Amino acid sequence: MRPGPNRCQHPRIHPSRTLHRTWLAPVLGLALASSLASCGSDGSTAAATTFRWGYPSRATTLDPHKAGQFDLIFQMPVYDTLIKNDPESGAFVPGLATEWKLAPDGKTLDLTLRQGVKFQDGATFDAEAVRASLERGKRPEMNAASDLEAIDRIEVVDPSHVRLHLSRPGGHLLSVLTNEGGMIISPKALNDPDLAHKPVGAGPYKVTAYSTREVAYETWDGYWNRPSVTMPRVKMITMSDDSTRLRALESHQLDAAYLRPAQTPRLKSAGLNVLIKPRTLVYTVLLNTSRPGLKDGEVRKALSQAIDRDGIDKNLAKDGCQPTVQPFIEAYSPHVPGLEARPDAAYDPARAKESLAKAGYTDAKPLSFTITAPNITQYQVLAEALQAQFGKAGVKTELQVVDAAQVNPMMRSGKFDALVIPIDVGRPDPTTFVADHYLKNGPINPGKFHLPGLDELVDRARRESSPEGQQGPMRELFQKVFEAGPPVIPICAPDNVVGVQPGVTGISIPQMGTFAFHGVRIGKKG
Amino acid sequence: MSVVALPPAGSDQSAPETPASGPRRPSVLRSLGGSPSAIAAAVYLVVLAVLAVTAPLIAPHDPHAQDLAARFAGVSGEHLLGTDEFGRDVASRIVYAARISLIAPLISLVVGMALGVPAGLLAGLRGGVFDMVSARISDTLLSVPAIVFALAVIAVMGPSLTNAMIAIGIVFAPHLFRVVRGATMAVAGETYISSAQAIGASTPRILLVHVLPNIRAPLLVQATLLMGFALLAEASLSFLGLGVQPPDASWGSMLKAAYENQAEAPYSVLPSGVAILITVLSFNVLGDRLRDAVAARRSQ
Amino acid sequence: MVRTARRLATAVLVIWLVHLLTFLLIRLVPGDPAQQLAGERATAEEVALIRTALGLDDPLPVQYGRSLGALVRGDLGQSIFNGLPVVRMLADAAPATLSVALVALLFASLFGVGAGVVAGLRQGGWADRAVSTVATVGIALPSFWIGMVLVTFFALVNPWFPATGYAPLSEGGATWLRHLVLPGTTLGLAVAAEIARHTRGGVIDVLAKPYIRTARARGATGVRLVRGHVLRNAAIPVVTVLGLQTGKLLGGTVIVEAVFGISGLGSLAVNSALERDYPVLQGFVIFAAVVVVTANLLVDVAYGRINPKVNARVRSS
Repeated sequence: MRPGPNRCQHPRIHPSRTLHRTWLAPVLGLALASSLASCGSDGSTAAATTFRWGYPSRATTLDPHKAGQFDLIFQMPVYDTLIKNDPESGAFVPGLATEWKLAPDGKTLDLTLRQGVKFQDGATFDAEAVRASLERGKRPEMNAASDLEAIDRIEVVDPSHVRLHLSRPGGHLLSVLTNEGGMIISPKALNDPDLAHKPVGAGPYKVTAYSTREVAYETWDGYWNRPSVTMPRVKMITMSDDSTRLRALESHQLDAAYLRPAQTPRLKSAGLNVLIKPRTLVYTVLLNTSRPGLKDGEVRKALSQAIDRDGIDKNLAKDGCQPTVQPFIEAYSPHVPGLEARPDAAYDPARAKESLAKAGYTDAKPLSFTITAPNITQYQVLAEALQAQFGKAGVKTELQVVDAAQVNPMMRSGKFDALVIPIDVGRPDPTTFVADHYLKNGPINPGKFHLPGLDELVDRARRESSPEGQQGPMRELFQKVFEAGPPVIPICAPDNVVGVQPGVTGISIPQMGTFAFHGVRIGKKG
Repeated sequence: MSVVALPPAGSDQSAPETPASGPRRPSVLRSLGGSPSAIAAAVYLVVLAVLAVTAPLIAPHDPHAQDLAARFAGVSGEHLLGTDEFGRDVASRIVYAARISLIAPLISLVVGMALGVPAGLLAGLRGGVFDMVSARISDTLLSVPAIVFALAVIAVMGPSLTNAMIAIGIVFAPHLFRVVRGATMAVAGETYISSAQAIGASTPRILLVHVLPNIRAPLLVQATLLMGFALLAEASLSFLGLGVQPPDASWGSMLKAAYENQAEAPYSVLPSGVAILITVLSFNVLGDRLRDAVAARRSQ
Repeated sequence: MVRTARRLATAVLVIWLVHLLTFLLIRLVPGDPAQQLAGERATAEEVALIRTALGLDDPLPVQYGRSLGALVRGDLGQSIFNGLPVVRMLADAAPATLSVALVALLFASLFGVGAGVVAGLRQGGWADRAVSTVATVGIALPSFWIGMVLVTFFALVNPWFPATGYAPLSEGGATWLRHLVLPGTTLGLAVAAEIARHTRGGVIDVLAKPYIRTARARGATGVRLVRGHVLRNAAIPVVTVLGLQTGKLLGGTVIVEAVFGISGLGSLAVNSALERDYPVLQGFVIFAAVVVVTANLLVDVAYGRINPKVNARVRSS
């Protein structure tokens, strides 16, 4: 497997006998160092059939239904989804389901299933398996439950047809089924308590090793679309420190890594290929509207005005984070044109201070709360910048850094004041972002923020499954929320930056969803 | 201050030794006069302490004032040591950070002293079961690496610099315990101690009046060396993100931030790194010379 | 034999006390330990979950008996965070850490002893002064800074060694070692400095001994002298230092693993501390103590081997 494994052999040193010749040590040490060094720098030779990916967050669980926001990438190789997104266009394409049809009223969704598909444990993929998996995902203790909430009843029509009966219009379900909610777990493994680290799906890879720092995958030959898989092994390595990831890439310890915009110049000068693309990912401050002060919409607007988005983009992100006061930037259909131009959207600490004074917060009695950030470099930096910028508007804040894996439970339990986090607002679907954060019973709405008319707007959007159809109600909705003082304050949409070794092909930054590596090839270096 | 008798020094030497009793000799501190490096170290540390205390008067800028547009500005009259990734004045931050960088090791030292000194005194004077038990506890703590123990305490109490430094202080305690115990044992057999006991002096009184003055010098040596060690430990914890929390800064957390931005500003690691290096070096050199001075006096 | 038995008993006693310490640490903290671990922001269910996981509802002696019994069986409990057995997590992470520590120890012994002997033989000379300066500075430098400098020059500017990561031995001995050179050097430097200082002192002491003066007078020089007399005698303080430094090495891997992005015990401990996953840290503390105590036992055995008494034989031969 490894080309030339013996190329780097070197004379052995017997430590047990060194007592007599320790004075030779420096000489021996140098000889050893140079003999090792002469092996060359291409540490990648040993791994040409393994694709090594460096990522900032780690797999908190491999159970799709319990996944946190950034676990999807670790689950995708094992679990195939019912519907898929084309990585370039973002359009829906067949997955485990070959056809789907949403009724005109948006209240039934018919799925035709692919036949002859097996799970990795040999179980048969059929309508019954889909029903069982979806029902598990709907259980109230599951994180996937909110995405699947609209499903009222799952009817097995025949082994290759499933009909989902919905309680509310479900245009968003197509997107949901391209994500965790649409990952079908083998019926034999559904109740396995080890599912969190022993996943069983119908996807291209099986997990060969799982630890919280590293997940290793190997091709599964029974995959229904085996010819599409070119990369025999994938290893996803977690390095929360941005500079460590960059150094690992520079010294060929990784084949590709997720990086931050400010690192682009260094990547280019190191001769690495760089992929850059904005996505629906947005850096945000998530506010807990149950906290004193933060429940006041005017206060939230003031906080938004206190953020120097241009300064963050130009200086901290080296022009790699597009400032935005709304969840979607222009490239996406729910974007509200003209919102950025409004005077109350501009950076204006003086104005913010005034509004805060009107709300009863002065220098003598300042608004104060804790800003929490995950222990990933870029969010800590962002939090520190925000602390100073809020400070200019007279707001006193404390900083708290928590382990990245704690963020998701924190968000859901509402045990925070303000969280600096990235949110993929387009995943699974724009309406699910709204439902999670802005609707009264949303799972990440600890302060029960709500506005009259939002539910109706979401339902209207969900009667449609196309972005064009959703656009009208979504724009109206975001305008309303902006005026009321959003509980999720967007800061900027970062460029997604991926550094890739020369010779590695087949990686693309997906329009929707997450990265997939089965089509990667590692060729000769350019 | 003049020390009459000097028990043995060194971290792990506890062999009892007859203290010298005779004409007064120059104090340990004064005998440092022969070592220019020790004097330089002592002067540096005093100046540093003054800087730290008077930081608000000395620092040219608000250490927390950000100016994103001026990030990583070079050295200039305005910014003597340039600016950091948020455009904050590095010189001002170094001066303010000196406070935490000195207070944090002090916390450890105080905790270590509070545990190690009384236990060492009692064990040395009383011996017996108390001595045996405390020696085993001391062995136990010595078998746990300081940083590892600090991590365990952080897991229980949550990340906070104070908690971490207290933990390191606990692991320090055996070092101080051993020194004090050895020194106490050395004087415990002296006739003046037994006569003090004979005329009915209480144990605390004997310890305070007769024993403590005799162990000051080795204690000072150990404390100085431990300050250097604790400062490095603080830097390490801050490097791991488990020490001081922003916007407060220690030299360790500044070095960590500079390290993150090494690609953009390669030289930004120097101010905080050099500050740590020189300060730890000063503590170590001073401690070593003090130890030499103590040893020299002993052999006189 | 009796002496060895007593040493072993002391070692077991220390491990038992370390276990007691870690057991009490979490339970004697003011307030509810489960609440402490869950954090002030946790929900009641989370707290209850942790309480059940740690068996905190039982009376203290019952908990202690259970914990001690588990320890004897080699069971260190489960992670609160992901439910995996702590022993398994430690076992997964240990090879990387022990490899780094081993290379560091090797580096420290080779360079520490080498430099110390050179400095001691040429006391006051330029080599002595150079070694002393490097040793003094080496001890005062934060290890992560050393690591950073090494990475810059030996991994990025000159791409000789990998900047990050660990390769298991199964990927080949050379690959394994290449990954360990920089982290091992980083970790070993401070220890090397410590060993160099002690070796130097030992050599100087030995050189002042009458029999060495005699040997010198008889014309014994250089390598022979060093091999025959000096090293053997100077080895004692060095071995002692090695024993004392084991703990430092293990503690140091926490930092070095962070610098080099190595997934070993150190990074496991840091993440567990942030996650408030106490059982994992408790396991790590006990593991570290076992390693340190074992190292000291070995040092004791080594004493017997290199004891000065052996010299009589050496000299007569």
